[in-house]
Amino acid sequence: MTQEEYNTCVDSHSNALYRFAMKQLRDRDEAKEIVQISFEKLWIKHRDVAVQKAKSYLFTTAYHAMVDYWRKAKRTTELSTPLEQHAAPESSYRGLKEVIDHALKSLPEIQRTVVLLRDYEGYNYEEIGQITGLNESQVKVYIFRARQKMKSIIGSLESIL
Amino acid sequence: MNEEIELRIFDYLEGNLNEPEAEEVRQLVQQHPEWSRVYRLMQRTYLHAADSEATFQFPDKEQLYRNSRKPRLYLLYYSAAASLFLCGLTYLFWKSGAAAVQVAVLPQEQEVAALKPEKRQPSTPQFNTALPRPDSAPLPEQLVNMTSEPQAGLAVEVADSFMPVSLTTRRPSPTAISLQGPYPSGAMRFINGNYVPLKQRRSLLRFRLLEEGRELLAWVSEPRLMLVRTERAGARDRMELRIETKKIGIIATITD
Repeated sequence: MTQEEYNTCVDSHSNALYRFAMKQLRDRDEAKEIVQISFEKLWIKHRDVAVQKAKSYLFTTAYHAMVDYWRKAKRTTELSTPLEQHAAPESSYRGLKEVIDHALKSLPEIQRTVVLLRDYEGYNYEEIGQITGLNESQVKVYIFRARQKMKSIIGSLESIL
Repeated sequence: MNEEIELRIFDYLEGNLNEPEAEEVRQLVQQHPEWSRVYRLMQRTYLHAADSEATFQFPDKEQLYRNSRKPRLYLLYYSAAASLFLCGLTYLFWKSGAAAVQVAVLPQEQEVAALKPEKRQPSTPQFNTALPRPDSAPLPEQLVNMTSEPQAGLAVEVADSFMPVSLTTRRPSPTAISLQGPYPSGAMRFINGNYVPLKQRRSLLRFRLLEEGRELLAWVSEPRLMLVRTERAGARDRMELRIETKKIGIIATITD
């Protein structure tokens, strides 16, 4: 990949990568950092990475960086007393979009990852497997379980709206 | 049975079915209100990229571009910052009794690679500093007195306030330590005898002190660091670091 192609990748993929990280981490600074790390690594490897593979490389790198983040965050959480309650009051939901967002947030990390890659990025099961290190069957099961859980959350909150 | 049907509906929505199978699902949904509801709810779990594209615009895109025509001032700026920082480090290790310090500032493209000492080639230092040992006392066990105790030994000056930095280590005499501090907006809590950032900020400051190889690696991807002063506080060294800007990759190699 040339420098010009790398810069095109920044144009094409930085927003999607940022959304992927933001939806996972819910923290602007952390998401920005994940994007920066991913592009930094892509730049270091840009001569070896074909431009067609750049997006997949970025998402794989971002996913691994987030796995590290979750591990560290869990260690910190174990030590600390929670300062804020995670569950927002149900009455605060203003519309279906927020309900879906809440349902997405409530998923386990791996389920959320596969759903985001599937819906937002349009990856097939095999491609998602390459990014996450899962096989196709596992990817499908995780997506199914994720949708089941989201469905039940949406169903239970639907009557409140 | 219910889950099988649910899976069938899922496969339909995912586009995994052939036409006869898809027709079966359509019939099922039309004929059974309960499955119609499941279908409708399942359909709502699909996220639409178009809904969020305007919301998620990466704010610092300019930082990601690589442009050889960009002014070299950046490099000079970073190099100057790194030099100041390394001068501070040199002073620190001199205070700690280290015999000599060799310092190399890596080119920008090697910044991340600098975190992997095993892949790093011995580079030609841009400058070397060899300072005499202040006295004939034996070298300390550790280059900087880092312990897993609650430490008041390190502080990062952020804007007008001092914030303690947590040291994370699994053993009292570590071969590697990661040191992390908060962004200016970050906060830290004193928990179980240690300062812990409320939110982990990975890019602010990372150090690795490799005891066996007598090697120190410092990586700062966002802020500029300046060592303001160092002093001995009992058995510990106290460092004051000023954080001013971004992106420095530094390796400092300590040799006997």
